[in-house]
Amino acid sequence: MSEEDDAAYRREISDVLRRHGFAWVAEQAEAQIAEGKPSSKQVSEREVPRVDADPMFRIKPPKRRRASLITSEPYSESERLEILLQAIESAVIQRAEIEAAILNQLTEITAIEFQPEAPPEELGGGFGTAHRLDRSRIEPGIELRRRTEHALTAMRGRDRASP
Amino acid sequence: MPVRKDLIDEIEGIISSAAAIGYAQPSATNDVYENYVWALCLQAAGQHDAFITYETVRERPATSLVFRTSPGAIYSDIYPYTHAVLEFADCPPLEAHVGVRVTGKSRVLHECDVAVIDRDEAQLCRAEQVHPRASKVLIAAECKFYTSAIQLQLGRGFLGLTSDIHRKERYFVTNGRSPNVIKLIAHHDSEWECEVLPNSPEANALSHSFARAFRNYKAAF
Repeated sequence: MSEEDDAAYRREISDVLRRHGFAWVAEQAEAQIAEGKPSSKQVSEREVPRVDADPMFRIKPPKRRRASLITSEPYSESERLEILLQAIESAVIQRAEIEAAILNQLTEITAIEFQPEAPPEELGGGFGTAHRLDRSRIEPGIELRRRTEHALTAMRGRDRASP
Repeated sequence: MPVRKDLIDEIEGIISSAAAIGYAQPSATNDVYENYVWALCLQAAGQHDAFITYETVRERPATSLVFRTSPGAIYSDIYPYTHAVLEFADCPPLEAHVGVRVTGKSRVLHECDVAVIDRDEAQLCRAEQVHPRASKVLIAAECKFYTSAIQLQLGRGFLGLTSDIHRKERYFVTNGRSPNVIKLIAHHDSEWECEVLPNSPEANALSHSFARAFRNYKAAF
């Protein structure tokens, strides 16, 4: 699988996310990609010789000290694609698991509503709009989780022969 | 090798289904995550035999829960916002809230995603329409649900928050891994827990931390 192929997959999946209202997932992945991979790098620190040293004396060669500093390396295309796939995993699989965990723990509660304090016209870009969590969401969540696991496994095995 | 359309179509199928059941709204995902951490807090209180009930902002019993979609005033009654009442034997009761503002040492308001507050203080605040004092907050958690690595500014924000609302039992909680943010928070001796998700060891660890706070609270009386 070439780097170009992985880049093409990432572009297509990002487009899918944006088409269906998940631009924020693509954007969070892009922010991580833009930051790069932090890694340690061993560098030599060289002591600068003093300029006022007596010319009659032989100047000692500057001492070299090793230091470990942090650098950022760009992610490879396959790593970038994996960041996007993990983002989908979080947005779909983790969301489904969290909803089920809440309702399974709060056994005596049938529904949870989320309501904004501010009137709808003051909510910018749909942020903070009302929504609801109830037991009717558990089954669709489990099914979605199963399908997502299948789709991501298939995508991760993309270099195998097509079906 | 060209891009396999069948793989993209399968991903499009799940993304479209996820959007249909409301997963596309990022703030809703955050709300649900805060609610999950709040539920972990109740679980921890239960481990110390807390008697847990739910009530509305007007202190009436609640059978369904209503939470704010963004942090607000503990006294706000636009909706019957709910909280849990935690009663332990032989010590004053507490309340567990989601998304309330508290007053810091500097008298500036801060937002707590999850906050366990002295019930006396909470009742006073509801009656007087004021915000609780940070010194009356036993546990506070800043909850961040991100689909990729959390950005460093969120860690810096949390450190700023803990400097003003006391550092003890203040937790930075996330669903993902964020090595840089954690390095920063750990360097400043603040509490954190990453990858807090259902059935994870990290969720157990957070629950134990909350339970320890309740144990120490009980021991003080």
